[in-house]
Amino acid sequence: MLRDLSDRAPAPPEPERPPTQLEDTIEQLAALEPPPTPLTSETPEQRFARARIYGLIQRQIQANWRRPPALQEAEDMAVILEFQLQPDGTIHDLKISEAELARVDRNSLLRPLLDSAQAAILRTGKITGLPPEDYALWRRVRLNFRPQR
Amino acid sequence: MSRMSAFLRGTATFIFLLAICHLAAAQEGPLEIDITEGRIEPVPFALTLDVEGNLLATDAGDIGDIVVNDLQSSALFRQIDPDAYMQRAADAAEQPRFRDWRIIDAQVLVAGTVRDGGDGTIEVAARAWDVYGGREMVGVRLNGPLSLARRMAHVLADRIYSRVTGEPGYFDTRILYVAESGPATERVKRLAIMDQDGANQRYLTDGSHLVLTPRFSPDGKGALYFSYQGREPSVFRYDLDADRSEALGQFSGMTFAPRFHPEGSEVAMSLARDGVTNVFTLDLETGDLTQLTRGRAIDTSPSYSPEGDRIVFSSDRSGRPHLFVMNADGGVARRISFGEGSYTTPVWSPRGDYVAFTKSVKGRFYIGLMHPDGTGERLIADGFLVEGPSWAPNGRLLAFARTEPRAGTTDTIRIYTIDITGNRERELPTPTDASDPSWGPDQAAGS
Repeated sequence: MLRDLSDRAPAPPEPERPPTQLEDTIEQLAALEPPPTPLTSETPEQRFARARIYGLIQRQIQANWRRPPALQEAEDMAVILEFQLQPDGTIHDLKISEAELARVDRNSLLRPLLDSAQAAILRTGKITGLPPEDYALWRRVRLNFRPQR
Repeated sequence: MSRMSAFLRGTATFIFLLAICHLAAAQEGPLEIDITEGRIEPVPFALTLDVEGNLLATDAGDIGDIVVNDLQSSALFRQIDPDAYMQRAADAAEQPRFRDWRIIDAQVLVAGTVRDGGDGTIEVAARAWDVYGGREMVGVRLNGPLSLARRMAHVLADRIYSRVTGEPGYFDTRILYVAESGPATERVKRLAIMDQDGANQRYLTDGSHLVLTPRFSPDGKGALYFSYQGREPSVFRYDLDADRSEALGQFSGMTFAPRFHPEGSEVAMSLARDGVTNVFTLDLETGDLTQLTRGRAIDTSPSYSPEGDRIVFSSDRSGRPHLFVMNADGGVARRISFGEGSYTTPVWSPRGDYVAFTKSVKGRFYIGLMHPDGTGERLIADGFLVEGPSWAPNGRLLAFARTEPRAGTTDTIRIYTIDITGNRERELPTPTDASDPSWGPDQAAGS
């Protein structure tokens, strides 16, 4: 039989008690909320692998990057491009966002930087020496071309 | 208890899966990498023009060489040896085979045609290609009399330079200067003009009177210069189209020619009167003279900002000559130079971002730059005597004169150009000694 309990007096508050094992687990669960950056969830080995991959790609792209000479005086100049890597390291699907293209259109000095960045990536063509077991780490790459003096 | 254990096992499994999901999410985003250290070297380019046979022996046959010379003189471009080209000019003009040009690492390909347009005219059609991107960067089509072949080449070079560097070009410009000849005691100084690459040298005065400090007008059609004809110094206006000069007036106590207001209707100058030198403006239409500075100091070498609202000048009011900025109608002047030595002949950049000046410290001379608020001072050229900086219209290069002492004979003096980073210094070819350069505006913009 069902009863309407809505007019009954509220139940007295439950006495405080120490947390149970279940609550500990829920706290641990809460601690696993998405971290502020992906790096916080990495193991030292993963961080090492990431740093090694970072250096490998950076070195090979930089070796093929001819900075636009007239940009020597420019400050706060940067363009961002993205590409994907096939498992053998071949670069494909080079992209630039619409927002980035609009920014380049507004500043004629960014055009040579974008040209040089694209040329560097296309000249590189293939990144060598990447660890296949960490393919998930380097499958997609975003490069921020930011000339420094 | 067993229900609790089952629940905990389930929770643990959930936590594990969540962690995996987080890692997967972490790998979903791209790996972000900063690229900061590139090679700084000239852009390698290939240029191939298909020139119609009957034009090969004319100025039109030199268009390719002029473009190459312009681009390479900037030191920002390097031509790839044409012997390495794998596609004929006519074919490249139709459709470049980018793979072939990538093999020789041409970053930019300039390909096009030069055709006889009939009635003494030619047609230049060329495109610059981004070889790695496989796309057109800029296309140029020019028609004109054969006599303008050199200028067409400069315009083509300007368009390529501008597109590749992001900076305006400066190849279709001219430089006024003082051509000097003869021994020191009988020095002949003539007004002369040349293209920025040293071509088309021409004397504008006959040398019977001393000519000093020429200044190109903002529209590029004329010039002012300062000359002693008799005992009093006079200012002359030269009409480059009509090839004739006229006296603007006599100004006793003048040591430098006036500098134009950016709009060309007014000039600023310094005049010595009653033992003091002050800055004045002269309305070229009405002839009205307005005094802007007062006092016992020597105020000299005024130069307008590109907006025409301020003037930078040199003054010894604080002891040694230093640079000061005031409004174009006078008023309080603010000192902007504070280093050791003397600062003279300031010139405001056409972009407004720098003031160039001559500096002397401990017997040595320098060409320097600073921002108009006095920050960022740096010296970009030096010598026994360097002086008289003049800006290229793109505000990224300067011309100046350098004197080199020669034992037992007259010192040599030549015009050099240098970029604002202090690199790419080069001597301009002149048939005689040359001083007081004044770099004119872009001719295509003014025509």
